[in-house]
Order: sequence, then structure tokens, then C-alpha cells
Amino acid sequence: MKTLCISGAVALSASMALACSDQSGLVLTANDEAAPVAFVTDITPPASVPFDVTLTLCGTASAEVTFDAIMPAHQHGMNYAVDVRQVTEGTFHMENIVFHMPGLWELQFDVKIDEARYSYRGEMMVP
Amino acid sequence: MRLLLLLKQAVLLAGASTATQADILLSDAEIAQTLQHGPWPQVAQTDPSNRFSGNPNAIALGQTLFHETSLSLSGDLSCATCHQPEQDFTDGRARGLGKALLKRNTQSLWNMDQFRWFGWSGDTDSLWAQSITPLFHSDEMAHSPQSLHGLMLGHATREQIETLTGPLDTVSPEENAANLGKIIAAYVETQRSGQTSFDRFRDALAVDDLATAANYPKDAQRGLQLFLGEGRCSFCHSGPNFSNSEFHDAGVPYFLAEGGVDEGRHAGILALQSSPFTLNSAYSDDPEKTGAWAVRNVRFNHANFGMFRVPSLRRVMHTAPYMHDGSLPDIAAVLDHYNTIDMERLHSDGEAILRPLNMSQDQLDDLAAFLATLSDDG
Ligand code: HEC
Ligand code: HEC
Repeated sequence: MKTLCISGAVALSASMALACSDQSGLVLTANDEAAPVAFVTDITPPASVPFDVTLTLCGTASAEVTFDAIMPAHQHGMNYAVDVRQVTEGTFHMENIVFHMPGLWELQFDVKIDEARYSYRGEMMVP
Repeated sequence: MRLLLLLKQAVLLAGASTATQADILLSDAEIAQTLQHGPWPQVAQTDPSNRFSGNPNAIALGQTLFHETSLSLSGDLSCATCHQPEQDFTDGRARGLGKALLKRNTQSLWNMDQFRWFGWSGDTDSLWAQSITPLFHSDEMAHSPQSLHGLMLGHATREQIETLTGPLDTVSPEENAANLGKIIAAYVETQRSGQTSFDRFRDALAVDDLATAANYPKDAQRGLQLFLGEGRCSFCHSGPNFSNSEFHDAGVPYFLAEGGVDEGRHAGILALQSSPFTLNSAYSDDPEKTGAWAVRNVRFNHANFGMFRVPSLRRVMHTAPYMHDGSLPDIAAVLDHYNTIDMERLHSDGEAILRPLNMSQDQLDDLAAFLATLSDDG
């Protein structure tokens, strides 16, 4: 029984480490070298249909995260606010993001870890 | 001799296939964009917020109620007075006419399950809530929840309604209105437009069947290229329904002839937020509250002022006149509007998408030929 619990814990931390070492997602660009490595689910969002994204902040237990996005070519943002929910240590879930036009969207994350504030940018192309 | 024949056939075949290739004017990138506008029809889904959605008895009763003039306080107006089924659910007028002239053009009721918001300004977030609106509008059917409840208690359809909803005399007037909206919506949502020649072209491209795709006329192909490219139409008229179901400023004046302005989406969000009938309310039949995120999270921006929902372009050739105020009589006038758009009229905080297209008459004709292939489903 005890061994089972331990192996469970090992498996969990191994998968988290893996998530950060393999970074199969879309790696975000930070404004600061001290910012933890961050990436989001790498998907091709459908035009004007809600989709979900998970953000991983490597080596970060908890943080305050806000999310927004704009279409730089058209100078407009999203028509909906997006709530960010922490799901496990270092992972955050965003539901019902709507990119209401095809083209290039810039994702913007503001992250507060203890007293430090970082901002991240990423890009997604809506076909 | 035999060899020669074979050779001849080979040459002919090769010739035929290059001819087919040449018959497709679209680049690979344009083909990829084209595929985004399908497949069509989309798989019909029932509305989880409406427990009568897909119920054959509700659909039949909804159709009856849709034509019932007795549902209006004055007794002479039904849904079908304005949404005439034989006129693509429109009335052919610039602006709807009820007890008085309405502010807006009567929308056709095709493919309602493709939209997130209803009405030109998205006052409602479900088809059933939108179907309640005219019952209470003072220039339309002019009821109050109480007078409507009283009417239904003595109505010829009471028994049929009660087999769906349970006893009428124990529900609140609001619940009664929600039930009626849902029964009518069960009928309206069955109005789905069919496959058009554009859809057959798109489906052929999806499976690389160039021979079938080549049946799509050249002028429509050139029009499609303009729609996707230079015209920038597909930014807003996107996806299988040719609408992103969101709100934009297409440079149509929002002043009313009788004075005042039509605030468009700005007023729409206010109406939505004060409505008891949203997907986030107790009147939704969906325990999961699917879709309620939209009303909870919609942003109120200054730019919403004078924005209107992007219309679908399916069956658009049959639904003249055009725009929220019906101010443009035909497709030529709409294309001329985009071709010479007055930038001064774009009042929203600079959505840098529309600008005068300065297209030639031939190009405008091609765009019109393309739009016609979204309307030829019979
Ligand atoms: C007097 C004319 C009139 C009557 C009667 C009327 N409508 Fe409408 N309908 C309109 C107009 C005008 C609009 C556009 C409303 C707006 O944007 O504010 C509309 C919009 C709609 C829409 C939204 C369509 C879309 O694309 O979002 C639905 C659904 C609808 N009506 C259903 C009904 C039903 C159901 C009834 C009967 C209970 C009804 N209407 C009665 C004129 C009418
Ligand atoms: C910025 C978004 C946007 C772009 C780009 C755009 N449209 Fe529209 N379109 C709209 C909106 C919004 C309306 C309704 C405007 C109103 O009523 O005030 C509309 C209305 C229309 C209508 C009238 C439909 C009806 O039922 O009344 C047609 C046809 C149309 N557009 C075709 C086009 C074509 C063709 C192009 C490209 C040349 C185009 N649109 C580009 C947003 C757009």
C-alpha cells in the first residue's frame, strides 16, 4: 500500500518534469530573462469557435495569471473576457477563448509570482 | 496500330487532366481558405437549453403557433406576417412593419443553430429567447407576460401545449413565455438551407476531385478569390455559415430617418444583461449551462456602439433588401457600398479592415456571381 503511494508520487513528478523538459507546446516569449519557461497547448484555433488552452509555468508552484489577446493587424482584441483557473502546480486552464477572425492573434499573459511580475507573448494563426 | 491508339489515348488523357488543372483558378492557399467555408450542411444538433428541441410534436405545434395571429394582442399579427416562409422568412420590406415601423430589417430565419447571438444587435443568446422578444415588443405582438398567460389559458392549442409542458395554470407568466418561445424555436431551428454549387465545389476540392471541381463556373471562382483576398470579406463572413456571429461596423449609417440613432451592439449588450431569459438563467433547460460563458464574459466596449451582427451570406440572393436598416435594395448596391466605402462613416475605434476596394465592374460582377452560388440550393 505504502509503495503504491510512493510510486504514484514519483510518476506524477516525473510527468511534470517531462512536461517542462520536452515542451511539446508553443513556447512563449518572456519580457525578462528571470521569468520561468512557459508554454501553452499548441493548437490551431478555429475561427470564432470557443477553444481551451493550458498554460504551463515550469518550476512554478503557484502564480496569479491574467490572459488577453489582440489582433495586431486590425487593432482589436477579444469580445470576451477569459477566466484563468489554476489546475495543478504550474498549470493553468483557460476556457472559451474566442478568436473571432481568421489571421494572426497575439496571446498576452501577465504573471505574478510572489513579488515578481512577468509578461509573456505568443502567436497563433487562425485559418 | 494498337500502340499508336494507346499513345493517342495517353496524350488525350494527359491533355484532359491539364485542362482540369487549368480549370481551377485557385492557388493552394486559396483552396485551404475555401475549405474553411464548409462542410455544408453542418450536422444538425439539438439545443440543450431547449427541452423541446428536436421533439416532433413541438416542431409541429411550433409551426402552428408561428402562423397564429391570435398570439398578438391586436389579433392580426403573427410571426409569419413578417417572416413569410415563401419569401425566405422575410417580408421584402426595408424595415419590418408591425403596429408601427420597426427600426430594423426583418431577418430571414435560416440556419439559426449556427449563431451565438440573435437579432442584429445580439439582444439574446438563444433562439427561444429571441422568439419571445416579438411577443412582448410594443410595436409587434404587444403582450405582457400576464396577458399572454391569460390568452394561452383559453387558447385552442392549450391541450397540445400542456402535453409538452404540463398544466398551464400552475406555471408563472414568465415560465409560460419561455415555454412558448421554446416550442416556436423547435420549429424555427428546423429551417436549414441545403447544399449549393459552392458547397459541391468545396467538397470536391477537399478530396482533390478536380474534374468535379471544374464544373464550378470561372466567374464564381474569380469572385471567390476576391472574397478571400482583395475584398477581405472572409475576415467577417467566415466559416461554413459565412458569418463569425460577432459584431462589426460595416460603414452603414446608424442614424434613423425619424431622428435618433440605432445603437446596435451597445444596446444589445444592455438588453442581454437585463433579460431574465439567458443561457445563464434558470429558464435554460441545460444543467451544464452550455454556452452561458458568452453572456457571463461578454465585454462591454465603447466600440460596440453602432455595430451589428455579421449576416450569413447563405441564400443571400433571396433576402433583399440588405443591411440592418434595409437601406440597400440589391446585391449590386451592397457591392457598390463596399467598393466606395466612406471611411468617415466608420465610427468604431478603427477596425483596420474595410477600405474602398476600387474594383472594376467585371470584378464586382464576379463577386456577385460567387454570392449567387451560395443561394442556389433550390
Ligand atoms: C412586425 C414584424 C415582425 C414580427 C411580427 C416578428 N418578427 Fe422576428 N424579426 C423582425 C425584425 C425586424 C427582426 C430584427 C430584430 C432586431 O434586430 O432587433 C427580427 C428578428 C428575428 C429573429 C432573429 C434572427 C437572427 O438572425 O438572429 C428571430 C429568431 C425571429 N425574429 C423570430 C420571430 C418569431 C418566432 C416571431 C413570432 C413570435 C417573430 N419573429 C415575429 C420582425 C418581426
Ligand atoms: C468588418 C467586417 C466585414 C467585412 C470585412 C465585410 N462585411 Fe459584409 N457585413 C458585415 C456586417 C457587420 C454587415 C451588416 C451591416 C449593417 O447592417 O450595418 C454586413 C452585411 C453584408 C451584406 C448584406 C447581408 C444582409 O443580409 O443584409 C452582404 C451581402 C455582405 N455584407 C457582403 C460582403 C462582401 C461581399 C464583403 C467583401 C467585399 C464583405 N461583406 C465584407 C461585416 C463585414
